[in-house]
Amino acid sequence: MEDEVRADYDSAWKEALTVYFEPFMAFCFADTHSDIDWEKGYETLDTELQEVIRDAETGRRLADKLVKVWLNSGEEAIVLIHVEIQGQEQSDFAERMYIYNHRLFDRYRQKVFSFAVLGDENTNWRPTGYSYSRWGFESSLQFPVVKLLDYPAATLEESTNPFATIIAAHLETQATRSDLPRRFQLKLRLVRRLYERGYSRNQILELFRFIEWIMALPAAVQQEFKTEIKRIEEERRMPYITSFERDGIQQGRLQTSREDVIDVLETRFLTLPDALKNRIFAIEDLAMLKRLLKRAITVTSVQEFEELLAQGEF
Amino acid sequence: MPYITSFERDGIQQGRLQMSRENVIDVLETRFSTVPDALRNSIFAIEDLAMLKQLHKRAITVTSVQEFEELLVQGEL
Repeated sequence: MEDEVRADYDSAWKEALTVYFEPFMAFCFADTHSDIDWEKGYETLDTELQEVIRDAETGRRLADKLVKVWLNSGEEAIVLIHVEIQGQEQSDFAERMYIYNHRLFDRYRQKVFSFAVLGDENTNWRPTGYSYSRWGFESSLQFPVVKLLDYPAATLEESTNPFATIIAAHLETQATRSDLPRRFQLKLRLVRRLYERGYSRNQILELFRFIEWIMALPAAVQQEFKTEIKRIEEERRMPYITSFERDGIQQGRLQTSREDVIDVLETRFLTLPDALKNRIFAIEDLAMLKRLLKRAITVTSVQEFEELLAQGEF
Repeated sequence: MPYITSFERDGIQQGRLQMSRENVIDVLETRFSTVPDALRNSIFAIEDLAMLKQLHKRAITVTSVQEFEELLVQGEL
């Protein structure tokens, strides 16, 4: 059961930090947030981060985020958000922060500010720095930390910051690892709150995607959840999430139509040039694909079909 | 890489099923002009995408609607 519904925390967190970086800073590190000139925008440095940590870390997907920001003073600063989600490898967490910070400093020759987000379930685990010293030498790193467990449910519930929803989803998923019926109820409540928040349609859809991602349910319970969502949306006359299904149907119809045209041609003429396949896969018009399917059955050669397509006869 | 919700996944599956059924019938109609209602209904009742893929290929190669109906009855697919 646990395997079936294991939440893909790391990927979800990485994406959430990308989409909601500013709200994240506002919610978790408010002082830093107010020092940053958000008007100037910010630059995410994911590729660079990958390069720097590749050989330090093997096989583990990281939710860490490296971002260049501009301060109100006009200075540039590099911010590294280090997220510890699953609670593994806790013993060398601070050391890894130390290593990444120094590597990035070396890479950019610029001040790098590291922050830690602790998403684990151990209330006693609270690293704040890494240091060593001897013979009058001292090297040390201190970093600001947020412990997600410390956020009271009421604070998360009252906030209109989208990141409060992400954190709530995270904590509720952890808390219901062995109580999936309760996770179903909490997930429903979290989604219901989205409509009450006054969020726009797009905000609701975006946040809903994260809730789905983090708060995984076993297939049977998920069906029940879907039914409830449909009921809620009908009741509120807000057919937002249900539009995902319509989009999916359209996508499924398009995918199958393209594959079927190619299947007919391949069944009849054995091989198809890649260029033709790519052209067919680029078609977004269902009615056109319907006509193409019929012509694929009646043409006498692949060339004839290609010519029809080139002439824009469809 | 944005996450695909179960709503979209189920939608995609539904869309694929709908289109696969329609296309099997379209191929038969294009090749043999008419398709008996009974055959149409049995195709529309199929919930198995892999089976519909197979049927689609056979619809292209069979020599008559009867041959196709027999394949279906014999459960060869």
